[in-house]
Amino acid sequence: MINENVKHVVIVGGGTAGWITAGVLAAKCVKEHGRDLTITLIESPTIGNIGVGEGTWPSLRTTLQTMGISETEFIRQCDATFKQGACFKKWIDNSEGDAYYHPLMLPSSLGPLNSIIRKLNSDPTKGQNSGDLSYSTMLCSQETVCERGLAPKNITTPEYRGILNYAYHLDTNKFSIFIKEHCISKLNINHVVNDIVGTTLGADGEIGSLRLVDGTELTADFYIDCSGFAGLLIDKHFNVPFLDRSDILFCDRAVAVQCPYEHQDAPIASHTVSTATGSGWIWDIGLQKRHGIGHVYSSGHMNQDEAERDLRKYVGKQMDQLDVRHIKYKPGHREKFWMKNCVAVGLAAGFVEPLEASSILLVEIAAFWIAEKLPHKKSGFVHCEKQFNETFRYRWDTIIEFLKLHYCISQRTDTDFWRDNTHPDSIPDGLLEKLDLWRGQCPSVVDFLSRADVFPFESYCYILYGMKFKTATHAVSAAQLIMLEKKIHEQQLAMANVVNSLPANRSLINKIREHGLQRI
Amino acid sequence: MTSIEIIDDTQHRELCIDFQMARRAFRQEVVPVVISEFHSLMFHYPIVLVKDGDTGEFTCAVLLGINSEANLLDEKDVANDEILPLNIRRLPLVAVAPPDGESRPLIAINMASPGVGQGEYIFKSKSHSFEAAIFSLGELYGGYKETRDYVNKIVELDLVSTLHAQIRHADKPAQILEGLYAIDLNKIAQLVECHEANKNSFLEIARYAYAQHFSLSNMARLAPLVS
Repeated sequence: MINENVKHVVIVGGGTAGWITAGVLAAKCVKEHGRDLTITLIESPTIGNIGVGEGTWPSLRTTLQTMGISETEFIRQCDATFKQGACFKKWIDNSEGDAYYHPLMLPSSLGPLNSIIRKLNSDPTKGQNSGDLSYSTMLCSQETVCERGLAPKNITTPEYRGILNYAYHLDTNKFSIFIKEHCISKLNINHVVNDIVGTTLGADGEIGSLRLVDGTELTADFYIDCSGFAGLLIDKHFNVPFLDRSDILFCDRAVAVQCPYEHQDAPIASHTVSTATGSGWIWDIGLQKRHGIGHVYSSGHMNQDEAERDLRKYVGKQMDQLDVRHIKYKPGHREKFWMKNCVAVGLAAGFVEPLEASSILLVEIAAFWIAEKLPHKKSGFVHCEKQFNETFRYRWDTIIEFLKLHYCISQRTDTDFWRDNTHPDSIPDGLLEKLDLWRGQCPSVVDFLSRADVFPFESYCYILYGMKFKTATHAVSAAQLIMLEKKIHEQQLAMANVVNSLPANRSLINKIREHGLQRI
Repeated sequence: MTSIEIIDDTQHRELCIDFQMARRAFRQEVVPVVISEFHSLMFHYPIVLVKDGDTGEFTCAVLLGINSEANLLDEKDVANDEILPLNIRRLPLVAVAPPDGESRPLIAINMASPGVGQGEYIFKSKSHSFEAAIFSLGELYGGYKETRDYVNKIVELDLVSTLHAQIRHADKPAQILEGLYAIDLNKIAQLVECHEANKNSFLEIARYAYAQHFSLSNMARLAPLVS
């Protein structure tokens, strides 16, 4: 087996994870690097897609562009809209007006963070959201842009470029079909529609081949398990244990609806709205023709009827006409993701609540990792296995920490769910240490040194100071504060010019549908 | 301000227009042109591609200036039709979308345009300038489809590239001209090379592309207009 060439990759599963992985591999390995690699995707004719995960990160722009997809066609066919961040409501203390933003733009560097926090602290009655400016409005125009429902670019801005940073909201089912058609027609992915009934054992415990329902076998040098929660290869063949992380992230259920707009010209929000409830939170994502709305909740703190009742309260009367879908999941991930000649990507690798749209993001990161590192010889698998498992375990751990941050610094104490979430026993040690550090001093980029960090220092700051986390600051001279004040003023003027130049999200989407975006 | 009136020989019997004044008063920096004009305009103005602010689609245009203060027209003989874009020669006439069921546009006048109300009677004196403006408007209108097809073709073939242009000043930072695009001659050459068998199909594209490229030598004329 050793030193046999890696020439054929089979991807199991035809959902978003499968097709993104296939497309990135084909675009990078075959098209860009000219590697002699056959890629086959096998999709079950009987098992449907999960169809959740409507939020993305800006990385999807690179992914789509890498795959040679036109942004115009993507927007037209996937019901996609622009996403510029998330607004978290009722997470801080459940008071009236309790809301903050996590924008996708990095904050402007107006000065040392200590001075900025000092400035925000200058009005003691308003904590760290002093004056008219919150942390995010002081340093970034995107909160204002979102509040006004504006797009991140103009019709004259080329495809995939933005005046402001942006990601997308999309219809996952349409997206899977769209990239599937692209992968088959433009990237020469072999598409097999068949059910897998088992695997055969290869040398040293690896996968020998896939046994199909029609009695045939499909053999490859490398297998990518994108079979969703079923984990047909990582679980059924390799029996890799699943690490349940519900001791940290309590949410393990969702109830979702697709809610049409009242009229076709209704404004489209350019951000995800995440509204905390008594035992979870409700996502609200604006697509072109409908909202995707769902209540993620902890079954340990709330039953299904209560969750549906909260969702009904949010949606209103319209809920009576909608199909309600209940989803169960275990928050967590595999103990290992890469085993011998197989790697798990997407839901097969793990899943946690979609609070920061990390699901598709992790698929993209994994797909690019595999495209970059897939060895030419099978002997290289052993090194990949070690590296991939180490970095992706780190990524899962830090994603879980970042999501937990949203809960554990909340001042809400109105339900067991919130009280349990702030209990130190439910907070990972690494996060407890960081919070302890950041109580005494502002976060710094040196606290985030790993290239495998999914959420950067800037994202942590948006959450920490959006949530009114208290950081001790050291004294700053009056002259420095005056200088900062001047910079803030100039920044606000510059940001106002940007805001005034942008069209409404709906208006731009309509124009793209009609005229398209130019490539340059 | 615009005040559009469909031309009517009874209603506008007493109307006078000073066509040259209308042309001289023109102050836009970017003027849409059609490809049939390329070979006459290329000696006088830079021809570029710009994006339509409403649709984002590429359109052909000449650059007359960098700001509204000075304009290449200022140095031109505005009575000489041969050196002016059709979009200036037609002033102050405008085309109005045809009514349902008709294909030809209606000819109208922007009554708020400078020069309207003075000069020659357009009907009573059988004005030659009036007839020339109508002709220019017709040629412009007719050229739009051909130009749109041409632009669609070069966009489809990925022949449009960003034009990097800047005006250097002795005493201040260079002024970068953004939002300008050009037809990429290198890509056309590659296309011809790769498609030797049907290279003739690219000749028509190349004919206008070379005119556009040649016209860029006029960019230098814009610099003295900037204070």
